[in-house]
Amino acid sequence: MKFVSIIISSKNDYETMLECANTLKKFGVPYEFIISSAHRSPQRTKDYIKTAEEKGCQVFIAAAGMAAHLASVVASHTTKPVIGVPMNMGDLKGEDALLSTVMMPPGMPVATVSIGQAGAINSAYLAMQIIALNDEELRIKLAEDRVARARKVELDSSDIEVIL
Amino acid sequence: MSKIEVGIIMGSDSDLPVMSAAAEICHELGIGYEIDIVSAHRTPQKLVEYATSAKSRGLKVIIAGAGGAAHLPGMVASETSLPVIGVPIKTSSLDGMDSLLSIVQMPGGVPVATVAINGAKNAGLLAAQIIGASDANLQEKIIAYKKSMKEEVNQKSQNLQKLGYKKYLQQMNK
Repeated sequence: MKFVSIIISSKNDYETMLECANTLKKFGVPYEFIISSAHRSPQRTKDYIKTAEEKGCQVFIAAAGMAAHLASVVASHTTKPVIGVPMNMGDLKGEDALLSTVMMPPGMPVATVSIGQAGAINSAYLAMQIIALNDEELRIKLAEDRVARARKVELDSSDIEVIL
Repeated sequence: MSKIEVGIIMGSDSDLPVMSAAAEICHELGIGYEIDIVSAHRTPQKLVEYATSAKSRGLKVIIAGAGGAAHLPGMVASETSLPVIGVPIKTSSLDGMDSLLSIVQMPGGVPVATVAINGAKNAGLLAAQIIGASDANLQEKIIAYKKSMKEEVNQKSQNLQKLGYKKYLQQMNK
């Protein structure tokens, strides 16, 4: 079965990354969701990636804050695409996590998305865009979602708009 | 020539020395690519046509490089449902931090897969990994590529042990 793996580095990331899981759920895309830390449970992280790959994981999503090494650790153990979500926490509110996640050395990419909640949602969308390359049904659902989003902008505007 | 699956675009020809690294990786892994200049602000119509026709032309991933206000990747992402990889180009005034933040901080629903500042090589590799997620043949090539990277580091490590740091540095500076 093709699925998405979501790995978060601590319980603190759960609420934000639930947005990611819920977005996948909304589109009917199967996912696994676990806590594993790059620094506190390195072996568990490594073992999980291997098992998930064998079971059919297509994309990994890794969320971490501050010295956010989780996504890069995941990337070093797999050749599947890895999406990194910088968490909005600590004294620097995610700027540290963004730079730790995105500034990967050549040869080891992490597909980095926005900080915090927007990034959690976008990590799910990006994972689905990747899967949709070979899943026409999902591609159509994503296209319909774009139309709905455009419609939402029109509706929001209609509440406040002034037109001469 | 293999079919074209990766579209590499950049906001200006001044980005080409950086963005060519993405083309090199595609070439190395045997992935067909096209490369062009598309400016979000100066050729907006071309951008829309490029992005909306991308899927029907057979592209699977778009890599977009831009510097400064760097709106190209996000605007392309808003016109296609294909995965878009953004490469923030280093700028003279803010060292590319402006490009990075403009590209990565997309609103919910329209992601751009952002790589490091000037990270065109990784953009190429990420595109390969995205296509390779469902292409066993390409996946094998990526595994071989990563293995060669590992061997390269091991080779350097052995040389450092053999030569000692002073001789190694001298050799590096040659």
